[in-house]
Amino acid sequence: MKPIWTLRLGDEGLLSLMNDELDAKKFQPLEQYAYPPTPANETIRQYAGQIWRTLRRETEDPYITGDSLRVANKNKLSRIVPPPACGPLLADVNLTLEDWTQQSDPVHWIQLLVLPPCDHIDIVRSWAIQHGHTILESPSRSEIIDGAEDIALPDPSGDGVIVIPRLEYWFIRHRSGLRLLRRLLDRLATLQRHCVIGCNSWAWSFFEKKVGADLVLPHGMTLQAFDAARLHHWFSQLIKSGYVDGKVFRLSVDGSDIFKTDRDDGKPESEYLMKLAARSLGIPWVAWHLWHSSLRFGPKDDERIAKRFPDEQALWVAELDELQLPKNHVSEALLALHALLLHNALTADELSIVLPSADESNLLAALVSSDFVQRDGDLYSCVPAAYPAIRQSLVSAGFPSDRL
Amino acid sequence: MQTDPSSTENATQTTAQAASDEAVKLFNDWQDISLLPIVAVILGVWFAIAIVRWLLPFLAECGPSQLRLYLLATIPIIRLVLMTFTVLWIIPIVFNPTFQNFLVIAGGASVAIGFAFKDYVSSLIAGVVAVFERPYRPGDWVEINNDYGEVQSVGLRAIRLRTAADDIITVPHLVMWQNNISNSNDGERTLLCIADFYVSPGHDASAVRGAIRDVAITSAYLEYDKPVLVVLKEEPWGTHYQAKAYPFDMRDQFVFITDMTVRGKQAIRDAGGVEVTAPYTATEKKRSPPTNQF
Repeated sequence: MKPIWTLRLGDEGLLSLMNDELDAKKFQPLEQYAYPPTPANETIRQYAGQIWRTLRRETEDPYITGDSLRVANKNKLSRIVPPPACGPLLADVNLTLEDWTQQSDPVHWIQLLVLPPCDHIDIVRSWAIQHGHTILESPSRSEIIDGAEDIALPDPSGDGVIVIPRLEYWFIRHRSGLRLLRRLLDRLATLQRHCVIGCNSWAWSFFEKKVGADLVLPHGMTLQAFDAARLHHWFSQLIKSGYVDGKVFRLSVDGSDIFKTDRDDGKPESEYLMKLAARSLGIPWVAWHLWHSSLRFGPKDDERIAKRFPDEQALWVAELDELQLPKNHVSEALLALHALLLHNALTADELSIVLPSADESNLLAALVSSDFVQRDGDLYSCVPAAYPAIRQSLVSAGFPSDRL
Repeated sequence: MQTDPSSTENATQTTAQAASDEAVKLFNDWQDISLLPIVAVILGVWFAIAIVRWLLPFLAECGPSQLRLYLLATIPIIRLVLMTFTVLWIIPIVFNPTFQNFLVIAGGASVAIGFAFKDYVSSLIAGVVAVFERPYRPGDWVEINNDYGEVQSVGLRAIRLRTAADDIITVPHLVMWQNNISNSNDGERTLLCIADFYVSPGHDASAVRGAIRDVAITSAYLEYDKPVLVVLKEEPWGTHYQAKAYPFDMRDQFVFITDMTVRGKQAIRDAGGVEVTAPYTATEKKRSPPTNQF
């Protein structure tokens, strides 16, 4: 599957990348990943506020009501806030692997990068392309099931770094879908060449516990969670590289500028980014998608706004949506979502292979229409903005989950 | 002024006689018994128990699955505590708690229990013991006298099991005294599931075993933190394979076994094995190995 967003670097992008490298943070061991903190008492305040409003039957009185906001046109939004190449994360990968790639006789020939799912940016592939490393492409999943023994594994001998961007693409959760992965792991066990392997955290949990991949591959490393400060820095850079033209991003609740920083400590005045970081579990692309999905254009010809913010073009940031799975067919939906997270993306036929039954023929259509799943050609994958809700539902239902 | 010794003695005797009469009374005087607090306590505790029996299962089903068994297990404990509180509150109001009265009550109760309520009281006592020993608790899957099902509730006298056939079976606690109780999960969120396969001789056992293991590993219901094991035993008629694995939710045990069986049969065919009909059938809840009957 090709990445949805490809790395685009112009002059602004290069400058941005240089700035990113100054603030880069090395990847850390998998078990050290910590979610960004939720603003103090935010959760209690949310529940208490809901109960109080229900009892008092108060109507909300936000600065600008949700129904007066206009849903932003996607193309127009993409010009204003361009899709992320995630420069900061690429800088993190670079910082983590730079020295290791230069070593002629490293302790470990293999480096494993475990990343959260819904990474449509394909960070590891982008890093490999950026540095001109050899990429090991996986066969299609139908080839994996039908003829794993016949698939020739690339010769891992030679110089330079080889990169396997997504280890989860080398398997499918079927009794015939593990053979190729096992052959690949056997080949990697004897490798004497720099090799970088990227793997989705949900797939890694399965490989580690059920396939024995941890016996061959080293301890996984993962990114440091993007907190409010990093999100502020990154979003600010994205806005500068897009079509800005004086646009300001204001909260629909109180009209405050979400990027305005305090003069004394330089921290964002608004708690929005802190909430966003917590809601997105520290995953930068999830945070971007959540933010992107909450952007709205203001009502036309609103005198009150024009009076308060003269000569200003504002984009309004609505409250973050609370996505919830429909109450019917929940167990089937969770099985499908779990399979999609495990494999990153599947076709409808592949999904029917990995699921225990094909009873719910319209399940994918329902998940797409409810914004939990997105479709790109034949491939279905989880929507990044829905990932926190999906993860919470899976964990609550007792599904085996990842370590992030 | 001197008191009359005889009048003093008479007063003392009168007081002692009154105390003695008072001690002999089993029940307090009706005019001393306030019925309103008694009724209020009984109704209040009954209402509280009803709330607990509705609310905790509701929360267990709606909340995270990790909390389900803990919530269900507290129901019999809360009920026992509330009923104990009620009894201890009411007894001093109604009865005159002296040693003689205790002997009277004990004697009468012994006769009643011995003749009419033996089994009922035995069940009650077994129920109290079960709360502490915990041979079963709500949410557990148990087998008692060949009845296998999920414990829906643990009552005073009996437990209710819901079987896989959606039957409700009421099992008195007193069966605990003399029968084995097989608890499949013992408070855990998962339990061992076994899928059986019977393969005719003349096949590659290593290939079949590996294929069945991969079938179990790739099930959508599998719990990753528990082991997967395939064991086989050679029988006169062929080879008996058992795939042993744990689902992440024990309520999925039957669909998990079904999933392993359906895909396992295909895997055996692809591995060159031929299934055979065994001369006997294993029981639903497996004991390994099954008994031969020729």
